[in-house]
Amino acid sequence: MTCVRGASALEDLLKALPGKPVAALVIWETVGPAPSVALPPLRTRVLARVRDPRAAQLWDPRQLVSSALREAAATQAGWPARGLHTDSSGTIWDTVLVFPPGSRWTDAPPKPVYAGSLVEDVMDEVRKNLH
Amino acid sequence: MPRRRAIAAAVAIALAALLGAFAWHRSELSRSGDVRLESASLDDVRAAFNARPGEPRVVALLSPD
Repeated sequence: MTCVRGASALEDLLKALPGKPVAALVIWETVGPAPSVALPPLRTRVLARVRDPRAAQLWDPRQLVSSALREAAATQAGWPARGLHTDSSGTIWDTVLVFPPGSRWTDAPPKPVYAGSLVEDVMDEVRKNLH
Repeated sequence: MPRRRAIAAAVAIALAALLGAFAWHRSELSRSGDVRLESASLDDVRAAFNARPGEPRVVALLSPD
């Protein structure tokens, strides 16, 4: 439930910054070991928590983003890895990252300027790091 | 005859509820930004991340459970 509240907190942040050029990406994922079976699609009421047109929402039941971020944090210098919240299987969740303008995700994710968790608790920090 | 009318009314109500739910679902999603319900690939994620490179990006990893 804290994650769903995190989505609402992100929506509130975007609402508080009308007109600001910022792109938000919400990665919905499962927590725990990646499931081997197909999962049902996300419920509309969960998706409806983020309505700002600057936000895109993707469904990542295979935890591909978590794995990519975990590997980048482990192999690239200077990652704010302490802000990554992981479960016992290593899945990064209830975590928010801020990337500066000009960042591009090529083979690996770029380095964020900020990473924090739990999402609903760190929106002030996210806001401070949006330049 | 009253029984037939009752069944017809029940079917009409169920159909109206179904159409209403469908319309609500579409309107909820249309108010959002890009929403993809199918399982994303890393290429999808990269494309979404790189779509507006001149802007700061906020990426949140969340569980719907």
